[in-house]
Amino acid sequence: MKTALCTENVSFSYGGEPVLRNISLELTENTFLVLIGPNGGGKSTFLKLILGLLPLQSGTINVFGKPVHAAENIGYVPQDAGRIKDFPVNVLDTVMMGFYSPRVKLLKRKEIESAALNALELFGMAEYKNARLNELSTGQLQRTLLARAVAKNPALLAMDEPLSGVDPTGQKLVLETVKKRLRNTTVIFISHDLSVIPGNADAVGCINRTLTYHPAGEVTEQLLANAYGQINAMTLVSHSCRCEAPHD
Amino acid sequence: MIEILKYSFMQNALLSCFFTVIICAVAGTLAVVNRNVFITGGVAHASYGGIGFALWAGFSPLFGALGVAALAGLLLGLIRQKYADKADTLVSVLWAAGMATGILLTDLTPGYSADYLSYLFGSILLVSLREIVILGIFAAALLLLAVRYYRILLIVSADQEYAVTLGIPVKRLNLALLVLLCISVVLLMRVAGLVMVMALLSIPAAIAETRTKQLSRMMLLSGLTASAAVFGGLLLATYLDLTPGAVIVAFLAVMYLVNTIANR
Repeated sequence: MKTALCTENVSFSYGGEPVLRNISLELTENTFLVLIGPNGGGKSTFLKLILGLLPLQSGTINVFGKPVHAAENIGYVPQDAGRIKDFPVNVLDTVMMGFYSPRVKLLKRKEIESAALNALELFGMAEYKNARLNELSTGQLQRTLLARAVAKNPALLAMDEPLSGVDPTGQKLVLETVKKRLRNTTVIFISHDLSVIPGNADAVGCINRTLTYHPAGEVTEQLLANAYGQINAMTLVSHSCRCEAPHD
Repeated sequence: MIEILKYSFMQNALLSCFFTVIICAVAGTLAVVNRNVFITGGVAHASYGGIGFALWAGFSPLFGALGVAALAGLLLGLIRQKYADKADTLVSVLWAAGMATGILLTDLTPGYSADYLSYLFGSILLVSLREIVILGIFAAALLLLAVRYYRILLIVSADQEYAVTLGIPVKRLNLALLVLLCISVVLLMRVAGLVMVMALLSIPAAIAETRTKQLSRMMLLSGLTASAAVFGGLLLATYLDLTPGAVIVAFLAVMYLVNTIANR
């Protein structure tokens, strides 16, 4: 198996305040990694460093053997849609954005449109293809951004709390669709919902300044205590996350 | 009314209006969706420093203004990339410092020059053939760029983070867009003057933004709105013997008001 992502001693601070300390991680191809951790623990910062959205301050990051800025075929679902929500762009054009690449020869417009429509259908958004993004609900907007990220079958798919705003039935459907659609894709999935882990994750990383990394079946109280604090971890274990058994 | 179209100054003005509409459609739309409208005001006023310097040094005010505007665009773009929250202050400083420099250098220039007044309030009826050629070349280049690189412009304007993940050189593109916007501001100052040029770039696009779901259609609608105001304003101003720039902006302001009320 090839290495999809390799980070070595990655540290990052905002204005002198350390957020990440010496994060080293090696992910092989096709791994589904769920990243958990408390708010402000550094999960999103780590993801943004991998995607080249923040400048690397120390350490190294390679994506499929290349430095971050030379990495190709990456899909990204942000935590917050940002200004695209209010931009004059419809759903279909948004999904078609995912096919653009400055390094690879583009498909013909008709082929891109057909693939984008196909992705929208998978996420139950085809009927909204002509809608402007500010006419959609939060859940529908998230599905659109998921369709954009997944449509071109990326080699690396980075998702930052992609299910926020999607109702529970929709969440299950979205996760199933993502898994069904992807082929040979390494996934990094940030989530506070631990029910995502069973049945989906191959590995779990907990980021709270530093990283602890575990195979999915070994999500323990200690891991959760590191992520969320002792008391919260006990609650989480007893109420929602028994990773040994599939979650209903 | 038809008689006046036979005069070469009117033909020049109409040709300038045509190129102005193209610049409003492309540069205005990109300025509005990228929230760069305030910058256009700052750059327009800053470029007055270049006009004053050119008059004082004895070369074309147009080139003085273009040079200062391009520099101001680069400076603003670089500062904004490092310190996004300081951009507002810098625009205000450039705005005031440019005006002050322009006024001081005009004071120091012997004799009287009508040129600086034409940049302050616009003088579309006095546009020279050389200026029309420059305006035409720039408008054509802008239109070609918009058509050729439409998809990149769309992605960078709509979602900069996503554009980075696709490998698009977002920082360099933002700088280039800002410089193009600054050049647009200077070239349109001949139509509406530096005091009113913001309206030309922002109002047609702002109206179009409320009525479309696609960037390309926003550009088209912005161009149509600008056409109505620019050609209508010019003809009415000529007929009533009023300042064309002011009539054009008044047209735009009324259109904006009507559109806002209609959207409620």
